Amino acid sequence: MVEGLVISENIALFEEFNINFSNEKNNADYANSPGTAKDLIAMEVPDYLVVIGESTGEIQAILQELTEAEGVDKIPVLCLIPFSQWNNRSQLWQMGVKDIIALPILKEEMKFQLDRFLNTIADVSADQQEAGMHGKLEDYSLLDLIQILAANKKTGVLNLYRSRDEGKIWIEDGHIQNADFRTLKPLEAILKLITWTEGDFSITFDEEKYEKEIEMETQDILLTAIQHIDDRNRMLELLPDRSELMLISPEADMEKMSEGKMHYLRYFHGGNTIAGYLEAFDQNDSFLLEILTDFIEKKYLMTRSDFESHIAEQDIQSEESGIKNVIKRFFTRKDDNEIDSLSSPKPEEVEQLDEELFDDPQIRRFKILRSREDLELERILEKIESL
Amino acid sequence: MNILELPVLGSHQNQTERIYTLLADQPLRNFEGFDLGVLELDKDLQIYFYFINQENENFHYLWDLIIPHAVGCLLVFNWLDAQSIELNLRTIEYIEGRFSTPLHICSLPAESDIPDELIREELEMNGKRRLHTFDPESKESVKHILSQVLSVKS
Repeated sequence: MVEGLVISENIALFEEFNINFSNEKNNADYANSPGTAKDLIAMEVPDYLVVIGESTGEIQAILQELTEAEGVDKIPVLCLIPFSQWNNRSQLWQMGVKDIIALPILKEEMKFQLDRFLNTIADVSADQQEAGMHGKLEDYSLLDLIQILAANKKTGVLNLYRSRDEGKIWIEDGHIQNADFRTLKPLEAILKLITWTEGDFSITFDEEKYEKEIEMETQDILLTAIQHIDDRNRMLELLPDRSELMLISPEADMEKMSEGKMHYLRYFHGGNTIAGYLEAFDQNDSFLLEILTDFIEKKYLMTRSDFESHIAEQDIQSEESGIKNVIKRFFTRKDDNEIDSLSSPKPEEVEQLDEELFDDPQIRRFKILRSREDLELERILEKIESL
Repeated sequence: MNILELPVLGSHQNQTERIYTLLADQPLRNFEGFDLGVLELDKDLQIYFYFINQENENFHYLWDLIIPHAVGCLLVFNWLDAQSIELNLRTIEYIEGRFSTPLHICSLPAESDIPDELIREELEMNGKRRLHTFDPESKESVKHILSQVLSVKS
């Protein structure tokens, strides 16, 4: 994904640019003045700048002001100027812009020009990437990578990618300086990233700006990380397989649970895996696993097979309960592929089933209102209104 | 006992359950793949709310079990939850293509800057789709939606 920044006083021009030329590979942000642009660049350096102005003088002034911001001189600039200003374009070339396009222009022409411009940028960044290295975490674990960088006293940024997640670790002269992953603190971020066994990594040896947040020695961090992985594995061994679907027990008493714990339990609504749970929260894995162990010990959570046998057991115990019978009959799957569906019985068959189910006069009779003819609409609306 | 069934699709983080919890005292009951809320209107009339998380594909078979027999199907559509928008649109297409059950789109947030016309345009509103404003903090909003759902002729 290429991220751009469009600078123009006229937001309508940006909107038109964005509607016509933004796509999954190219996305642009907007600044209405050089000041706003500088703020945005300070937060995240864009891959390219588009400056749209009424005159070359106006664009020159914007570029002049932008050059005061750090790192801007390395960003490729595309200028869009009115055709009447075309003769003055040499001033812009002198300022080092990458390309100039005169307006008005046909949409298709603009798309062609823009693609060409973006391809040039991609080529440049590909050249830059070759200066670093990249690979898969399946081949080199994060522990290996940190050890290699530490042993060689390297300076650079270690980027880690897994699915949509991205983490960063800044290293200077082989010492870990800072780390960033979601909302976690630097050391917590490393402990989370260190558990990744799949994904991609890249190392860039550019001097990227960072703040030193980690005071601990790299060797101590590595020892803490190894200890953390051991503890984590020990806890995981006592739990069901990480990829097994876990479900909330119908008896889990949410009312007695603190809001904090409920937050974690709710993740398993409808079924989820332990692997997914560990990824979902910005918390230390040991902390998350302690909570999970507690849930499992208290039988709030159970595996699918336990859940099914538990439900079966419960159903036997409460055979007299009409509601259970209805739900059981409607939602019991014969096997993984074949479904005992509500859709199969015809209304008269359902009536018959109901008769069979509720022969006992002590048990209340149930009727599912399937057609609108059955609805006593006014009565129901009145009841709803009175709630 | 007469029972009305109402499936409610959406994502948990978009407060779908508020459609039930604002009206009922009883907590939701968890079943495999869905949560059940039983709202007792009187001693022989209940509404069953089936809360199905559309993100979990393991339980999509429940849609076939519940939706065809329901008086209406509710979909909670949060316009500020960018991740769920595409999924919601797919759900709408699927339900309309497969079932004749009227689909009711409960749009939230109620107080948003998104103009109503834009929402209608994005949803390509047609005669079959029905749009309601859903305020997860307002009981009246939920009662209004339920009244509309029950009043619609299929």
